[in-house]
Amino acid sequence: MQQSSKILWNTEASPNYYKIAFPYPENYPAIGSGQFFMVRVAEGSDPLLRRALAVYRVGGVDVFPELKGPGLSAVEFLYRAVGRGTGFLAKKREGDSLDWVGPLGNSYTLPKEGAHHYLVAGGTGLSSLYVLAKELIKIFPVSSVHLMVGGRSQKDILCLPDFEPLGIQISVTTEDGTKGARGRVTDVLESALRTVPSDSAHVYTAGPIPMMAKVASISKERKIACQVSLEGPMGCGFGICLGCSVEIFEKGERKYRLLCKHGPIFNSEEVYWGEA
Amino acid sequence: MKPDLSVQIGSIHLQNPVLAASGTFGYGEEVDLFDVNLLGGIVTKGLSPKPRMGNPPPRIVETGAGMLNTIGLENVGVEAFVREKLPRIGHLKAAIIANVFGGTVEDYVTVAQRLEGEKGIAALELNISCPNVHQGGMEFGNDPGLAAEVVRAVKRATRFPVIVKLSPNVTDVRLVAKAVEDAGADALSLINTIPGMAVDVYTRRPLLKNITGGLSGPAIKPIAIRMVWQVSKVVSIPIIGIGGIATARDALEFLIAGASAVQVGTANFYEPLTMPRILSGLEEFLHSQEIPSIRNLIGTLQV
Ligand SMILES: Cc1cc2nc3c(=O)[nH]c(=O)nc-3n(C[C@H](O)[C@H](O)[C@H](O)COP(=O)(O)OP(=O)(O)OC[C@H]3O[C@@H](n4cnc5c(N)ncnc54)[C@H](O)[C@@H]3O)c2cc1C
Ligand SMILES: Cc1cc2nc3c(=O)[nH]c(=O)nc-3n(C[C@H](O)[C@H](O)[C@H](O)COP(=O)(O)O)c2cc1C
Ligand code: FES
Repeated sequence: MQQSSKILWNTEASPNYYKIAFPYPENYPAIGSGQFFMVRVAEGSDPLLRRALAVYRVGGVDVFPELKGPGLSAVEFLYRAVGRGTGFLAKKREGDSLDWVGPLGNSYTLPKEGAHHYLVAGGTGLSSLYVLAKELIKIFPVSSVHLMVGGRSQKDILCLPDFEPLGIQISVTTEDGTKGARGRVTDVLESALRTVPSDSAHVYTAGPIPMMAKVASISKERKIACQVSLEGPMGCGFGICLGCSVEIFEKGERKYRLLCKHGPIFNSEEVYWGEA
Repeated sequence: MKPDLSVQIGSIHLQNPVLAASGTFGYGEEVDLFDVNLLGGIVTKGLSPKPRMGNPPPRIVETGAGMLNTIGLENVGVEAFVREKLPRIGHLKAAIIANVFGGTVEDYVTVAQRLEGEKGIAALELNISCPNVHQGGMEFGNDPGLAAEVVRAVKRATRFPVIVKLSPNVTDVRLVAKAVEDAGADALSLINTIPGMAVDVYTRRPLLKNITGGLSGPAIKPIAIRMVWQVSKVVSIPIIGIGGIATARDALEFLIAGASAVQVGTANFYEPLTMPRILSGLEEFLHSQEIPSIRNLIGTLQV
């Protein structure tokens, strides 16, 4: 659906990272883990295209104590101001209107069984994993869900307090050791996977391409199912411009698939990682 | 009284002058954000004899008030279109116009023959902004003789009205317009995208895998209006205006400059409700100006 909504908050979560939210009544379309919205960052024709943002959190006062009143609910996004469009977005204030189209794209596939679920995040990739973590703990023991967050330094580790109430296991790594263990998140994943049988583990990852490529290759080595959330340029977000094609291997055959419609979540084995 | 928005493109009757441009509205079945039956018409993604995968990514890049694309004419092929897509859109009140392209004259004819007699199609639109594989990649639309040859060949193969979509990539668009009119075209549509390029200054690489791409969006509107006006002076067949249209006022500019209808492209991407909004804007304009029919505006430019 498309709608213009009043912004509830647009606050800095960490230097250059923002959380933006607007009301999302219960009768609006249900949002699945990994889905995204296309938002208009400015009126007029420059910047022209909408920007894609993965849904971070969605819910009522249980999720957002800021919501004043029962029966209210909201959807929230976590983004990094990287360029012109997200820069415009960061300047928006509470009460300004935000025009959006969504929810769009596919969702993570929830496995039927599994004793270990590893959610591996880098940067704003974390945003697509919150709804997933909540979906997983609804059907699996909370101790089976493990969030691994990595970044260059302390300031890249975002929003952990949002995840703590879920009760899942959380590991933090930074390359400079300013928060959590020193090292790379992919090393943490690798050692964790060594301790579990392949057929009981599932990996879900969202973040920078080199990180996801590494997560994919570690999972592949251990023959563990891995789903990845891809990003890339998008013209429309809903399947009419064919501008978002990504290269996919289906049964060994090279194909283009629409990131916005067949994705953004793909099985890691299908993805062509290029030189990454 | 409700103003009359209906227009006539040769023998094609349209309930209103607002159509979705080729390649910007899929095959007419993808969009569910509004009722597509409101539209005057839908021009399909370009169709070729065989399916095409299109170009490698990245395929699009945003530019000032516009975007560049190198989709590479990805499409399901005419056979799958007729069997899988047409049955889902052929019953619409919006006229379905099949956009056709090829690398040879025979390609155009093959697609036209396969579409011949299919129910639910109102017309063909020939995209002649394509390289001719037999002529060193020279665009059909760049050469009045080649363009006329395609039109004559397709006219022999079809009974559908033939709209020829002109390329802006020429020195004088009037020469091609005249040539295709003489070759039997029933209407013209213009413009297609304008070749352009963008560079990443850090990597020093082009931002599109294909290096160059077609510019579309509001940035090209003044060029498109100029070409519509120029062509309207030299042909007597109807013209459909295309290029950067995003508001009712944009559409009105094209109609006054000489177009009998318009197509909306890039705006569908960033503002999916553009076309229904243009329709209500046109109605409001006619109402407020006490003009009974949109046809009273066509080609009324005062110079
Ligand atoms: C499905 C999906 C979900 C996303 N979720 C998030 C999220 O939750 N949080 C977040 O911070 N970012 C997210 N992104 C990336 C975000 O859309 C880009 O950072 C943003 O478009 C950059 O716009 P800009 O104008 O600030 O940057 P510029 O670099 O100035 O953008 C110029 C152009 O490039 C495109 N572009 C640049 N970088 C990217 C990129 N990485 N992905 C897609 N398009 C890009 C822009 O859309 C724009 O058209 C997501 C992208 C996709 C495709
Ligand atoms: C992503 C994209 C794909 C397009 N594909 C086609 C096509 O298949 N055939 C065609 O004749 N024109 C195609 N066009 C050109 C448009 O139909 C239109 O002529 C052009 O974009 C100018 O209009 P606009 O500024 O409103 O987009 C495409 C344009 C875009 C942006
Ligand atoms: S973004 Fe337009 S088709 Fe995917």
